[in-house]
Amino acid sequence: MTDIRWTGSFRYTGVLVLAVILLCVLSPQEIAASNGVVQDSSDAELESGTNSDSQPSPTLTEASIQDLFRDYTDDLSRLSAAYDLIGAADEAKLIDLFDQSIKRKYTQEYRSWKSELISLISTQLAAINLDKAVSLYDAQPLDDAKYMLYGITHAWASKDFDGAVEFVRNQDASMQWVALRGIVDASLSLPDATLLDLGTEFGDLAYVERAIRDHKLKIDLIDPDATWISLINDPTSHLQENFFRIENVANALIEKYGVAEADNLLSSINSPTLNFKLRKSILTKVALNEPETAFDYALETPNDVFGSMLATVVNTWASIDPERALTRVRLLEPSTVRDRLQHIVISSWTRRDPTKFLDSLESVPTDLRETARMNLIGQLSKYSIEDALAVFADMSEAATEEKAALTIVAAWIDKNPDATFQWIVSNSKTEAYRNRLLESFFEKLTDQDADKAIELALSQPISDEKDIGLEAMVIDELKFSDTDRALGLLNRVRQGATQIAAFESVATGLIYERRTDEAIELGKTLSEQAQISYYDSMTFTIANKEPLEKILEILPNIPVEEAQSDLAENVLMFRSFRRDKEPLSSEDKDTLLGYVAPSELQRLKFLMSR
Amino acid sequence: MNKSKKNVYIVAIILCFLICVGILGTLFLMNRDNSNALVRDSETRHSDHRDQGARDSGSAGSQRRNGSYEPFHSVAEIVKQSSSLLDTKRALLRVVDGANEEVLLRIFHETLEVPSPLDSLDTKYWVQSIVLTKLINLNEVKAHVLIEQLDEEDAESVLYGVMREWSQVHTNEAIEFLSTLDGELKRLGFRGLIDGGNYLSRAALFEIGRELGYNEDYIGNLIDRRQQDQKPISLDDLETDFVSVDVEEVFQLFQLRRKAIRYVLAEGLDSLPTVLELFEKLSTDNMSDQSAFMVDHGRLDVISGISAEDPAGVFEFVLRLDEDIDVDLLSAVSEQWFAYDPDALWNRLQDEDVRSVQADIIEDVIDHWARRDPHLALVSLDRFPAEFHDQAYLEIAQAMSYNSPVEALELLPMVSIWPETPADQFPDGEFSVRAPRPNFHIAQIISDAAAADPLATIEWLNSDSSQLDDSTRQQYLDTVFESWARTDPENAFEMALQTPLKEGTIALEATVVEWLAFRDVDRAITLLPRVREGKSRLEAYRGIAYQLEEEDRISDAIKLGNQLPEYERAEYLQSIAFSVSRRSPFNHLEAGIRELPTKDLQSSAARSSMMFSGTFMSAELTDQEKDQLKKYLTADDKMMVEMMESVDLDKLKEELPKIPIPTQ
Repeated sequence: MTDIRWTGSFRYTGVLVLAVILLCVLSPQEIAASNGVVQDSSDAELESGTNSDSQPSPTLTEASIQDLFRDYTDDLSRLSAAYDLIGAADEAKLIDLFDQSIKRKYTQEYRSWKSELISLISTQLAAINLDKAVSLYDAQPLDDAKYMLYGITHAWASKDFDGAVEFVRNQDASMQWVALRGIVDASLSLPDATLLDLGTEFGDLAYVERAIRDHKLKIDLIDPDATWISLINDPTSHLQENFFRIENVANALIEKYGVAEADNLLSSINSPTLNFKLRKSILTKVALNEPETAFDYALETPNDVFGSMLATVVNTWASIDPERALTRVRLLEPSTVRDRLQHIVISSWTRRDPTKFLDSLESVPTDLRETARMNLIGQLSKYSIEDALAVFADMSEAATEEKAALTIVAAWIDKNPDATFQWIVSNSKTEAYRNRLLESFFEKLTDQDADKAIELALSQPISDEKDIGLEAMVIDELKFSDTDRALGLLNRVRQGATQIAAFESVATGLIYERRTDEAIELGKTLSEQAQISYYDSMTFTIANKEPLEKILEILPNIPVEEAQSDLAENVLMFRSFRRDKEPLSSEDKDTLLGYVAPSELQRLKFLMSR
Repeated sequence: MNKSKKNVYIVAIILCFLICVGILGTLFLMNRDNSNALVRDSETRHSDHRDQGARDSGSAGSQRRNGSYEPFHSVAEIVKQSSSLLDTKRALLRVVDGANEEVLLRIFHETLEVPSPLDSLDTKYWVQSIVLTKLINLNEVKAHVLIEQLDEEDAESVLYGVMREWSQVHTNEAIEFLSTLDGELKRLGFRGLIDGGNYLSRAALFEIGRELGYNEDYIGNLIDRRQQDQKPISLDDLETDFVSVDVEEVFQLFQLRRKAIRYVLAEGLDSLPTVLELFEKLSTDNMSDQSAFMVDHGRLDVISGISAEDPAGVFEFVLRLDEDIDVDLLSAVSEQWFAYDPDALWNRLQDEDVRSVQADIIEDVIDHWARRDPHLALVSLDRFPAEFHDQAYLEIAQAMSYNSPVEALELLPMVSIWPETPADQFPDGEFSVRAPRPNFHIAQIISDAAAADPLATIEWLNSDSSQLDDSTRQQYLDTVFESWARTDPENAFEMALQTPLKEGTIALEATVVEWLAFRDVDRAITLLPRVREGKSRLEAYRGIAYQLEEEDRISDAIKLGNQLPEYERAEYLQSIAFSVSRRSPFNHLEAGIRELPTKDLQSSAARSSMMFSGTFMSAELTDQEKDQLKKYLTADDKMMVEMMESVDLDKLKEELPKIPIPTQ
């Protein structure tokens, strides 16, 4: 019995094995067919310079909205597929797709897709069946309906401008500006005044002005020669607002006749500001295709002592071909302009491909390698602090090294503030400019996490009371952004110079918030010696921020005579220099002079009499 | 045995089953993909065929076949083959979706061409937006390069336009792209998103703004500003705003100015006096100096803001506003007029009715443009009247010195008074009405350059480009070392020691020591032994003595003098006596005199104090105080003082050198 059973199993196994062999024999044909598809695709990629790595996007005549989200993981492919699907759909399909788009439950991540799809479908549908689109629109809540308005009003105004306008007048005012865009885009052949009135009525005049301007430009560019002549002969055309037209028409003429036309164009522009802007614009355009020509032309710019036109050309050239740009720049006579242009090239070059640039650093002229390393660190630190630190280790010039270190700190702090801090305080290379790095570090960290900042600041010892602890930097950073927080942290600062510096920072913040009385009271908690510096530090700010009446009220409350004197002197001096202020009344003047230290009176009177 | 056979069979069956499932599964999937591909191919062909007769048939040429993409030739060709905007967008999306970096760059560059192959600017920006979206995912750096290679103005307008057309489904890419841009570009990009045709909700815009690092108030203001700009404004609204504005809040003042400009532009020039009156009412005495300054400038900004279209008309209107000419208002118009038509402006300023303020206005115009765009002012130099070119060079150099202090130096030799130094006398009003002391501006420019890069500044001063003679160069080197001593005295001192000492000049290390003494006199004393001997060393000692006296350490100063040789010591002690003579109040002066070690020095201090009493050098002494000081005078000094008392002291004081005061 057992044998029979096992014999049966054996047979069954044999059948399976046979089936497998059969399938294996058949499969190469199928595989070949599949490969054919892949092969075609690869050929096409080679030919077109495009690839299909993203995802296949079939023509989705039968597809659903669901398919868009199931079959496409990246937004651009999905958007492309959506255009295909909606673009090829007939009325019934559009209505179906609209229905699917409305009913679909969107996750937070895909929420914006709802409005995008509604907008696309309704634009298509309105062109085919406006009534149906309007009926769907009426049935939607405002939040969704808003996205249909452009398509509907565009289609409507294409056939019946007045009807479309009337329709918009009956819509919710908060959405009329959306509808306006549809109407205007469909009605640009109407008189400007009609469209501008509509812009005012529906609350988006700026859009109408821009649309008219764009439309005019299209007409301008049909015959740029004629347009240019009419522009320069129209006394009202050289306005700043018209630069857009001037620039585009001029560039069309440069495209037509070449850079040789630039002199003619520029000499006909009387406005210095437009002339300057147009020169830059022309040079940028020419530099995209003929950088050498643009460079030579820029060199001829009269009185361009600092090479602003050359910088424009080099900026564009370096983004396309930095090596050739650098070679050309180095042919210039040594000067600060040449240095600046070289820096532009190096900066652009390192941005193109930092890793590749790192490998070819030796090919950069020796005198530019430090600059190159500094720029490289700027790029590398975005992706890998380790790589940036490795380049930093090779640096040797203090000035560029400091800038590079600041870049590292700015990038690293977001990833690991503790490690950044340790690097700043312990790296022997940064000693000369450590304070600057710490300032930069605490400036950023305080903004992100003030508690962490104060904790790190307090972790660093100070040698004696004359030294200012790092917590003073944290408080200084908070003085304007969160004065109360800074005030609350004062009890954590160390005694001595740190305490005075921190108190002075908070006082400045309080005065800026018009809480000068609090600032004055705050100082009274300090030692008498510390008060001298504290009150002295605030006199200039008070003189600037408080009106005279308030200053006269404050003066007796300041417990340090030197500070009273300074404050009074500042007010007297400011007033005597200001053309736009009424002179002080003799009574106020006498009151203020009463606070000025006798030793300062003569000098002050002398200066005031000047 | 049987049991082990069974196990072998079971394992064999399981293995076979798994292999079968695997093979079948693979074949099924391959088959399905292939079928799908074939179906797609068939559908595409079917669709192509069907579309030929349909309204969107034009796109057939760019549709995918066999799961791949049609070759891309140019945007122009796609536009040509498309029958509608949607069709163009469909075709371009397909190309961009499958494009590599090279194709994306080609498309972007083609959109920049003028005339553009695309139907409208919005479409151009839309294409650029999808190219950038794709490129951000492939190579974000290249995406930035596309914007950066444009000139500043183009980069701003392209970025604003691109963000306006940016699809809301690609918001993450927009944030990623904008967050690494610099301030103004980032702000404009964000404004593009706000103004965009994709109607992002307020909540979404706040979220984006926060991710870009803006605070809530700022985001709210950016969004609301757009809405506010759309609304017409009445006089009542404006008056209400003027009443409720908190002048201490800069942003509120800024908004108020914008509204005032919109109001005047909408209502016409006749409404200008009312608006100016509102500003005048706003200005009260109960206002800080800073706010008063801002309010006053608000007035000028309104004039400036309404002048762009017809500056000549606004100029005449403003001129007639009051009997007394308001130069500031006329300057505000003229600054705009210059941008429009400088020749017309200069001609108008020749007329009799404004000739008295002509120079003031020209200087304000130069100042405005030099600060606003020094490069533009420089390239446009010939558009300023020739007699004001000095002024222009100086203003431009000052403006440049904020960001490029060393480069600013290069303009100095172009100023005709160069190389005069502050030490050279320059009569008031000779150079300019509003900036009477250009030589002090020159010194400031050099000082700024020295603070930024002392070595480069020294190199420039020593180069032929500076066109300096030895003596003037020495004065400017002094300025550099003064500035350097404030920031890095050690290095300044070492560098000074390496500078050859020219005959008749004071060594630069003495300058460093003197300036260091102001901040840290004890540290300065440690450097004294290394100062080169002779006049320089004495000068350094004197500088320290002044500071010690200032710190009431007269005995330390006197002791320090013992280090000097006899013949220099007397001069040194005289310096201390002179320094004491300037003390006040009287008890402090007298205490200082008593501390001086010899009768002669005490007499010298008392004599100086009495002789300079009441000038800026010394406090005014009462007759009683003068009598008290007489007891310190030697017979010779007593005679001299009595002689001085008999002459007209007021006249003498008048003849004393005046302290020059820079205007800013």
